[in-house]
Amino acid sequence: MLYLQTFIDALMIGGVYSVIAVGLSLIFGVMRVINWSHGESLMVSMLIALYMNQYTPLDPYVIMLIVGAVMFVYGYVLQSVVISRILSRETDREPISCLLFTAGLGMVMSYSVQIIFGSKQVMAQTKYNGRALHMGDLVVSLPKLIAFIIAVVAVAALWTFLQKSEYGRAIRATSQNRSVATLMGISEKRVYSVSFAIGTMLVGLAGGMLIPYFSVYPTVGSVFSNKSFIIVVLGGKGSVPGALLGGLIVGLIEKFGALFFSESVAQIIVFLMFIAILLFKPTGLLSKDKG
Amino acid sequence: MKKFLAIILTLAMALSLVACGGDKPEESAKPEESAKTEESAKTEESSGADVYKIGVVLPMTGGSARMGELQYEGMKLFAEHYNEAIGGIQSLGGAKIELVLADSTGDPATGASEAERLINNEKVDALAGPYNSSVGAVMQPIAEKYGVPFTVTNCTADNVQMTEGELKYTFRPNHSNSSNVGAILDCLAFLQEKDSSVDLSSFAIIYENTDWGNSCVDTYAAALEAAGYEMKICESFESGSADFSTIVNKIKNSGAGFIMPCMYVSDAVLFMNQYTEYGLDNALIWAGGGILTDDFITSVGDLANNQITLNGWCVDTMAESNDPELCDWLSERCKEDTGSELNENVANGWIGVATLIQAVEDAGTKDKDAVAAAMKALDLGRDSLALLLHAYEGIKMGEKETWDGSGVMQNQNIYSAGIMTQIVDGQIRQIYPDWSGNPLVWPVA
Repeated sequence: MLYLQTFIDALMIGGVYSVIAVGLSLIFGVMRVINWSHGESLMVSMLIALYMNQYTPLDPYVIMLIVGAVMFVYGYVLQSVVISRILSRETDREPISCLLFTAGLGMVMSYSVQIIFGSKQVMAQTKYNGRALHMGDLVVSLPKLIAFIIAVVAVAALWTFLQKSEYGRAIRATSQNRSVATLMGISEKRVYSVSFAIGTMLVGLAGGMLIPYFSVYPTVGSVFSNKSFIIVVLGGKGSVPGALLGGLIVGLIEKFGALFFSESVAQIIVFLMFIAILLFKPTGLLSKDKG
Repeated sequence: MKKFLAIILTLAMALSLVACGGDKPEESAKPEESAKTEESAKTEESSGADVYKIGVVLPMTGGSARMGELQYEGMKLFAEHYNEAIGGIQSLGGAKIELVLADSTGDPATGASEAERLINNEKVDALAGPYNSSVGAVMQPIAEKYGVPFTVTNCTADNVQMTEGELKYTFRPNHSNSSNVGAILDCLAFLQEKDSSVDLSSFAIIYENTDWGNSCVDTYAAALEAAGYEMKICESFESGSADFSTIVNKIKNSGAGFIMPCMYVSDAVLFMNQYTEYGLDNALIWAGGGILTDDFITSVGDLANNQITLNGWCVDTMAESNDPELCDWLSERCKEDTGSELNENVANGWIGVATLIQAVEDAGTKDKDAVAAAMKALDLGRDSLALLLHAYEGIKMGEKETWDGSGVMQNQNIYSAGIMTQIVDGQIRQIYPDWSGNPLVWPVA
């Protein structure tokens, strides 16, 4: 029973990791930009959700959708106004200046929040806090179950969009070869803006769904962003199903590692796996990228 | 375009430097009075009047930032009170206290480099801080190497005050983990006596993998085992955990009587919620840390009620204060500045800097060796300003054995001791040592 419970817990937390990582993966896959402000975007999303929860009567999951929309607009504007200008000067396949820019942006976001809101560590009070489904001896955390379902639906919807829609094909074409895609009449800048916006929207959704069980504070993003980078490398940079698989694998390693050893040892195992992937399968499990 | 990029990156770096190493007063000071004090302190400095510079190393960002902010509040309010109401350090002709804040981020390497920067670049006269035991442990040899008086605040791990040779410059006015052991054991016996139907014969300890967390295991868990309590689970985790479900399940299946969590705010909130989700009903005896902040109580709501925790200070401790009016002022200012009630972190910030300044008054000089010698010779009674908030019998730096007699802490306030408290109706109240009007709720439903 303990193993089954651990398996369920692993799936739940793995789903959360996936939805946070998939946005990062998409942005990298299409634009080759490593968004170092990903964790801080999550933190800002959580903060917006926290205040909306405090000052409006809306359900946290309705708030989550609003935050997702807000972050979509944020991502679109950020890419089309700022990042596109930096990117247009880059000739490298993986632009270093964008990496530096997003790292700087992340620091600005984190310290600005600290200065404006202080270092409080607060969790939203919602009707979902501390609630769980009890099935015999098995327990499933309600906010995490909802988060898992949202994660799977979001990843599936994104995958379908990328595979089946006209615009999704345009995004994939641009990710494969931006010069050829431009020659085919695809607006590279618009594709990048939409991709970046989808990436930040997913982080917005993740931020909204985290608030019923996770505290908000200026550096909360680092709790998840480090794992997101591992998941993206594990699943394959740019692979949407890879991000889902990577998240679930990290969840399983963490939970079973903690069961057999300890939480601290489990984290070591996760990082050892990260090193092993970089050494033996640098393209990740599901990426078609040849590296 | 390059120009634009350069501006953005410069802005980012400048902001991060301000937040990492800058003076917090400019960033966080909201109240007008505080601004006035800083202004007057700067005016005094620029007009040539003497100042006593204390380099404060605290976590202002990272997982323990909230505790760092509150600890700094205690130091800042002491400096403000001393500069304005008392007129500065009398034996130095009214020299003003100036706090120079540096952010350790809770990381030992950062804390060490910031301490060295404060000593070498800022030329501080003394050091104070740094809340986290792991940072305190690396700052201690730096203070000793440079011969700078260092008043340790919080950092309850025994090893902060332990070294092979003689500790000359590092002093800890507040309690250590070893000095808390008696409170924990006595309180457990007290609770068991009050209701023998609650199983307190065995325990699970969950601790963050830091010096403080490890020290909790080395002292509390070891002392509990030595006293006959069976340890069923001893689990570590990395601070800033994303999930405690496996640990909670292990405890659930272990048959442990009570649980002792050793963790800071965000972890404590997450653990408390998962404890509830998984339907655990074990008694919780917290080892202090994050539970002692308002943020914990605000975040977990009613779940906070009746939680029992080790503590160094609570509002009841202040009942025998030597200056209730000043306590009220402090309480109001703390609420105004930080949005928090007074708590252990604020109180330990106050006692740390107040003890150091008393030693400077006694020394009558800024000479570091003289101040350290005065610190060593301190013997303060209940009427001391340093003991405004704490209920310690006094402050006297001396040698104190670790709980099991295996080592000796040097320059440890021999009168310091922990208390046990309980959150009752959102207020942290003292339940042990026994108190008239003790509000204990036991067993916890």
